[in-house]
Amino acid sequence: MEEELAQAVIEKARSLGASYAEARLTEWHTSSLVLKNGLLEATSVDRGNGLCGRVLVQGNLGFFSTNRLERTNLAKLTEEAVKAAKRGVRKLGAGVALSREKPAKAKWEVKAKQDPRTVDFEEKVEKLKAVDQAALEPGVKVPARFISYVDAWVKKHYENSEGTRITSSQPLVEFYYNLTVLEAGQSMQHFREYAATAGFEALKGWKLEENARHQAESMRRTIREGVTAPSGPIDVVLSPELVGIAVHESCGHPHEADRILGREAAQAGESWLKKDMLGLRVGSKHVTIVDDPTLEGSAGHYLYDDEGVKARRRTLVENGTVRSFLHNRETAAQLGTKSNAAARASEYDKEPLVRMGNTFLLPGDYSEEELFEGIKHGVYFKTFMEWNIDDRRVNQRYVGNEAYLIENGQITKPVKKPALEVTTQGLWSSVDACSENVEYFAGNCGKGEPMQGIPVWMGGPHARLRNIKLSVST
Amino acid sequence: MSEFEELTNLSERAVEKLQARGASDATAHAHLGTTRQVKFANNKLANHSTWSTAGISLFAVFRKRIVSTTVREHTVEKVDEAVNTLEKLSKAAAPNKEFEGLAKGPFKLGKEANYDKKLEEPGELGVEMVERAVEAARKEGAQRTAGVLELSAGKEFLATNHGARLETKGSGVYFSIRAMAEGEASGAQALCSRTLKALPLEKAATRAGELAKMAEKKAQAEPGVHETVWEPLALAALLNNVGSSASIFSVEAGFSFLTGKIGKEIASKQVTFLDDAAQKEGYGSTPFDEEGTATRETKIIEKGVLKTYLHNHSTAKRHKTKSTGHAGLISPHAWNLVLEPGKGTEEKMIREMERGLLVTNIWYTRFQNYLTGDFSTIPRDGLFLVENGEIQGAVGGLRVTDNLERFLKGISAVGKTAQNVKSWEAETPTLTPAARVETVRFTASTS
Repeated sequence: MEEELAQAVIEKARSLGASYAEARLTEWHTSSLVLKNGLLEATSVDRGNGLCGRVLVQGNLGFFSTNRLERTNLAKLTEEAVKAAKRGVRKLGAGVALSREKPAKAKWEVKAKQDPRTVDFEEKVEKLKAVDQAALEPGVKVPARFISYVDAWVKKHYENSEGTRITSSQPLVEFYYNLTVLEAGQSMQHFREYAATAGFEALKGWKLEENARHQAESMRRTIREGVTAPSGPIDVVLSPELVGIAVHESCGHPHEADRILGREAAQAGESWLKKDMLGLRVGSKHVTIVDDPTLEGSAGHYLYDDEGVKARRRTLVENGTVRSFLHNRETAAQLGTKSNAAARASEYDKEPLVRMGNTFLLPGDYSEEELFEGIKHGVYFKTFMEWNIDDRRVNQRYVGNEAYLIENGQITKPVKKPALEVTTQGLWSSVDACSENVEYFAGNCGKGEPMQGIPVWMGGPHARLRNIKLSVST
Repeated sequence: MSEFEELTNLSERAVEKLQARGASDATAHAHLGTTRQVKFANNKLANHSTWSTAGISLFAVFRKRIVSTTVREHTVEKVDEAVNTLEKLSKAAAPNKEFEGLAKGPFKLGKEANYDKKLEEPGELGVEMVERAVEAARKEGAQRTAGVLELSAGKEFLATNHGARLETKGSGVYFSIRAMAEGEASGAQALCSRTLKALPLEKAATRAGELAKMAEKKAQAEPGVHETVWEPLALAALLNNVGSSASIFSVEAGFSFLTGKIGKEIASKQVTFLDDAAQKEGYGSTPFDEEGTATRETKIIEKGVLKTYLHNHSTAKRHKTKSTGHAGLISPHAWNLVLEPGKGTEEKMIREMERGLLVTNIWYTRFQNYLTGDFSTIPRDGLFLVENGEIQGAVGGLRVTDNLERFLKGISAVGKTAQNVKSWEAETPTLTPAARVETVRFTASTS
């Protein structure tokens, strides 16, 4: 990577009057495959370089990006960014400040056991076909099968005018499928995402064939034998997959300080949390939720964020009480605190926003058996399909895909489309126990305009909720 | 030689080389463009961005093996390297027996849409427009505003080994604004055009401010079935799902409630829904698709009956029909969706409503089952209770939980004035009026 290009951008910006400047060079190598109903629709590779620069001029931000790295073009765009920021000085100026952070110098990398760039495409194609076949193996009718695979190797060099210089190199592998099962004139669908900051070896641990086979069978069984969900109030056990989506949506997002401060109001929305709500009780004492980008191998893994701040674990909710927000340098300065390294940009041409890394509920001390044993009549949500939450992160809905009745502590019949429609505080206040095992699930989290999809993990233990009213989806 | 001419020459070279290496089909699609964005939040300018991009997307098929890559450095060496990469990749890829080849021509341009030269170098324009918008929303009572204004201009060139050599230029304006008033009240608008003069910026900002102010007054409505009126911003988001469901790729992959319904009634008679790549002010307008087929208006739903899916040459041949000019080389897609106007007005629809809900925006639409069309979505930015023809106030905490076909069948009136919407939820530009939809099901949190 031509690191001197980043230096040239910073020097140019400073010479034009920027009080602060940063540049991020990115080099990527990706490959992707799409298999539809057993046939390979797309095989792609992409290699490229890009650079973005960000400048601060009297409290106004300017940003540019380009994949045309000639020095004359970079100088022209740097000039345009400074000029654009200066317009703000005369107009509706933003008053942006960045928190003071100790300059860092570091090089970090994640190595892959099986570098996806060197894995034969034949092997990748075979893996997709194997998953496709696995879904058909139990003799289930699965007329529509969409399967995709992406691997990426991303190298970045970041530096800013305060002396921070961070160089990184990391792989990413992602897998996705959506299966449609037909049975007795009815259909069911299920999707699942997998991702890890690792090489091709990660696919072995994902049990892709086993899971696809199980999902197909489980959907057929639900169509054949599924009963209507009891409406309740009843007890509910959420699997790590359900706990994961719930912590991400109803805890991770509302703790993003840029939402709290209104910067993303028009797009991703705001937050029901206000800046003075640290210390507020939002759940039971069994609820401690953290976000941790340092988790090795995770989809949301990084050791320095895209503002060069050292990553660390952030406790968002501790024993039911709001403990901290997620910050980049801009929001930290606004609230008089330090960044906790939540600035992430999805690609070379995106500004860093406040984002999650890997968000999860910490485990409790129950075994899974003990959690279920305490329930006379309830519903176990194992996987979900439909979900959403309002833009302030209060009212959310998760509709079970694979779900079961719990009768006298035992998992019994499948349940058709039970819907948990609940408020954030209603959900987390109902948790009375968590199991001791934690599992993580991958997701692609969207925010910003233009949209930035970033890989994250979300998860937790099994969680037991008391006295929940369920509804049945249409 | 200009940079675009360089890209053009390199594209032709790539296509020739790919054919010489044995590709039965090859395309090189070059683009060069700049987008400038002013982002604002809390009535302040939050960021000023400039995105400058150039590249050539290469697509080739060798013995039914479909491969693609992108060239981002504009040199003969990099193009030749990409050609080598594709040839090598094809040896590892598996054949797709269903691939039927790209369009063979003859090639001609469809209709060119409007172009605004001012968007090439807009200078101070973006900031000035945002200032005007913020002021207009505040005048209506908005306390805070947030959004983006994007101004873009660029050129495209397509070369295929079947003889297409097509060039076009495009410009676009995209504006979204959310206005916030007292007590979590908000209103939003999001729209697009190809030229500055066609974008009703201040009108939209005024409406966002007005909705926010209206939403300060609260009202109560219970979950259950309600008669509804959908404003264009909200309706466009759901119509986007109809548009993506019309792609033959979605149909085959299990992502469409339109599967197996050609010739069947899937909407009320009031619904004629089409895609029009030749719209003069269509943000997504293009005179040719990604394999060089001239684009044209395509009726997807006519008076409630599903007429066609969206096809490229290969999928059309496989389904024994003709390309609709919607390549997407892998997945056909819409350019500009249009709900044909009716005779009603939003005001009249509201006036005639005994008790119901006015939906002004939605977000987070998710499907329980794409095949059946079962979905839920969340109203935001002012969901208003209407009683005896009068807006009573804003309702909170409700979610639309319904079925897309049932929703389309429930459309009982369509307005005569359309808005050109593009938003987070409506990524495909959608020209739509407001509509009245009978019996929409709403749910709410139970704990």
